[in-house]
Amino acid sequence: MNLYEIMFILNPDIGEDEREKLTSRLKSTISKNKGEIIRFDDMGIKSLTYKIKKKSRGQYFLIYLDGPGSMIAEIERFLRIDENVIRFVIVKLDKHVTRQDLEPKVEPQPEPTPQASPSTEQGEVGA
Amino acid sequence: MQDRPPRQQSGSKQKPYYKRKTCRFCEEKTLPIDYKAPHILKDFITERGKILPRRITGTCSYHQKKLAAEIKRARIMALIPFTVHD
Repeated sequence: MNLYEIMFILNPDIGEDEREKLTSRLKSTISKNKGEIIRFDDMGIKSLTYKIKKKSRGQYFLIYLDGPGSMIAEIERFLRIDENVIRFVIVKLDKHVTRQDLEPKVEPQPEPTPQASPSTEQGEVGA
Repeated sequence: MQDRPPRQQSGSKQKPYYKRKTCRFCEEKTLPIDYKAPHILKDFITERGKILPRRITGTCSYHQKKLAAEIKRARIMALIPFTVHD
């Protein structure tokens, strides 16, 4: 089992329910292939530094997950097929990164110091 | 970042004085090299979006390699530009 990070950009013009449908289908693809989502972040709509598919804005998502390598091929296939996915990148995380580093930080208690996001290295899977 | 040696008087045989550049990632261990942090990567590209060479930024070879990979990843995700044209 490995830790992976997936970032993808969605078409910002699609409706909320369509986006919801897409993310739930992605989640089920992950769980069907024995993957486990550690964190699922919606980073909101950001402007792209260059136009992609005639769009200058995109909705960014960031997922951290744990799972076997065979799961990645399925996720990649899914992301490639869906037209509303503008771009995606899948990164296998370094061996020294642990699950605890990736889990969402708990907001209520005042944490001593917010940790810097773990640096991500190693091979890139897909583009 | 681009430290130019101070001008020498003509005819002087003294070597120009360079301020020694150091790798920012070795100095500051917590500074992440991450495609998700484009504000850091921006210090290592030109205004036109090209990756700055090590001799300009002083980055060590170990970190420069990682930096180049993350810059390329950030370009794919449209976080930093491939090129900037007028």
